[in-house]
Amino acid sequence: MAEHSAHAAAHDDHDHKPHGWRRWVYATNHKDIGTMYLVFACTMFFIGGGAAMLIRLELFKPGLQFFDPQFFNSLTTMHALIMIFGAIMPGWTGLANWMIPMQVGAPDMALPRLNNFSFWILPFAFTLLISSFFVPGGAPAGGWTMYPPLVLQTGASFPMLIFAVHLMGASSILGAINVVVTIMNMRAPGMTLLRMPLFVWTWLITAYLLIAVMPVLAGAVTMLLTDHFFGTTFFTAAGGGDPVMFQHIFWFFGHPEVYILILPAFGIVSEIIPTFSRKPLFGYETMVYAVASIAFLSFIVWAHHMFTVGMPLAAQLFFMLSTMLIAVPTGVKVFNWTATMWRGSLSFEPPMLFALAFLFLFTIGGFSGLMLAMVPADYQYQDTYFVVAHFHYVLVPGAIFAMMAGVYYWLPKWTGKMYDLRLGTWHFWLSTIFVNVLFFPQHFLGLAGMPRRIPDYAVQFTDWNMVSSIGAFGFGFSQLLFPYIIIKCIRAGQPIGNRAWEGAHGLEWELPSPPPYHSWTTPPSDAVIARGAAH
Amino acid sequence: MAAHAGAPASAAHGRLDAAERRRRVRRSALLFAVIAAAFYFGFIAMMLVRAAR
Repeated sequence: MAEHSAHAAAHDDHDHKPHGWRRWVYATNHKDIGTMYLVFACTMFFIGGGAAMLIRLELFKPGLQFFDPQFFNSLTTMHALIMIFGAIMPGWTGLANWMIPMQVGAPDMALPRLNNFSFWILPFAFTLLISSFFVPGGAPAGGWTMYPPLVLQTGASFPMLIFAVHLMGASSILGAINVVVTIMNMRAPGMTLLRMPLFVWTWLITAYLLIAVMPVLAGAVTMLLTDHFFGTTFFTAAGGGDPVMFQHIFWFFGHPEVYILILPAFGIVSEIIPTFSRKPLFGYETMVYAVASIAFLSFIVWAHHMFTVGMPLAAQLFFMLSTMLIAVPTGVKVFNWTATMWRGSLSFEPPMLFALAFLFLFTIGGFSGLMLAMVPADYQYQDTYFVVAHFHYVLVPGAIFAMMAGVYYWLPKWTGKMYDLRLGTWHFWLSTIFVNVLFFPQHFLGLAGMPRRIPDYAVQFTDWNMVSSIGAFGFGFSQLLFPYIIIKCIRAGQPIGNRAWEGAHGLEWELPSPPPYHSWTTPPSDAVIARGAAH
Repeated sequence: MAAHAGAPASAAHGRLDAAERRRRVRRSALLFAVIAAAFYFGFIAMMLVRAAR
């Protein structure tokens, strides 16, 4: 009997991990699916980054250097689509898959097979999208916003674009449903909503946003499809349709999409800053309310993306003021992060460095957003490089830096090994210096009147374009350090204990490093949950 | 008791039994799928109504 029990105990410890290709193709384990999402996002980051470097190569000097304008426009369009839908969104979903079950004390996501399906849609969607470079007429070139009537002139790649966007949308919606259902139904007993880590909270709100707005994008592109192939005129003025209506529908999706890209970053920064300040997060509950307020406001500000199409004064005022209102909850968050650090015992490992860079540089993006919210000023800035500088400050040192901070924070947990901190610090400094060399001059170019989405420009814009391109090459090549550091960590990192960082709190740090293939098969006790919820 | 891939079914999770949790998971997943479908068809229907005016 005792022998049987011992055998059973040994059997329980066994991971039941499938081997070979089946482990990945049939994956239902949240950690495996999270890894696949992260690898996919990293691959797309380098493909999208390659397109960005080609764009900056062309813009290094005035005049047409390497590409014809059509191909240049394809590069800008594909760069945006790949980075938004291929790199940032799957990157967040990868982190959600890895961390949410471990942080709420659940053994896996609520719907593991749906999880597998959500992931495996993506490689097909992006193969379809990227292969459009090789069809007659080339890849879509009308911008990621797909405004009609321009986008309706796209060649053979048009249906590929529409189908790929539908697939990406379906993947995001299914992933979001999985996240909400997991958080609402799979939390361990005692893991109340206001004990959840901020990363889980921000993802819960992000998932609600995704469920609400991704179908709107799908509806818009379905109508584009029927306009193109089935003779409808939803957005064709000649048939009584309204192209401006597309812009309203697109941005009803598009502005919450901005917060879909940034809210999980808020969650990660809210995990990292307390850890490396050795203090609880200042104002946990206000952080939750601030995130929820930002999400709500994101639904009522969409027309600030399209002030220049013309709209009644009352509408301009409403959208201007509602946009400015977002600065209030965002300010609360920045204040709380700063207050968390106040008189803390700070240390500056790579996750904290990236989180601090996020704090400063995302705020710059926020300030330029406020400038763009002012209607009369926006009439000047519209469609200039100022807008490009603004949203790249939000998305690169904002979303991407926070994602890197998250990977550097949890990598020791995932692998059970510590990475090369010195190389991580090098990666941080190179990224931070070059990202500013790349994007800060674009503010000057925009204010001086350089339009966006053009392959050629007037000679007076040459100097800052050269500086920006040098920054792009520096930033792009310094990112090669990132996969190198990860691979080196997996192969030769120093083993670490459960709690990789001295000040870390949360259920994930109660698990061994690396965590077992099936974690929290027995839910954590109240005492363990209380120890983890240190806010 | 090791949970197997595809079956995150530790009965101890939450204070619900496994069958009740499965029901809740299924119900809430379907609810959100219906909400997503409503947004998709709702916006197309809104455009159709607008065009018919």
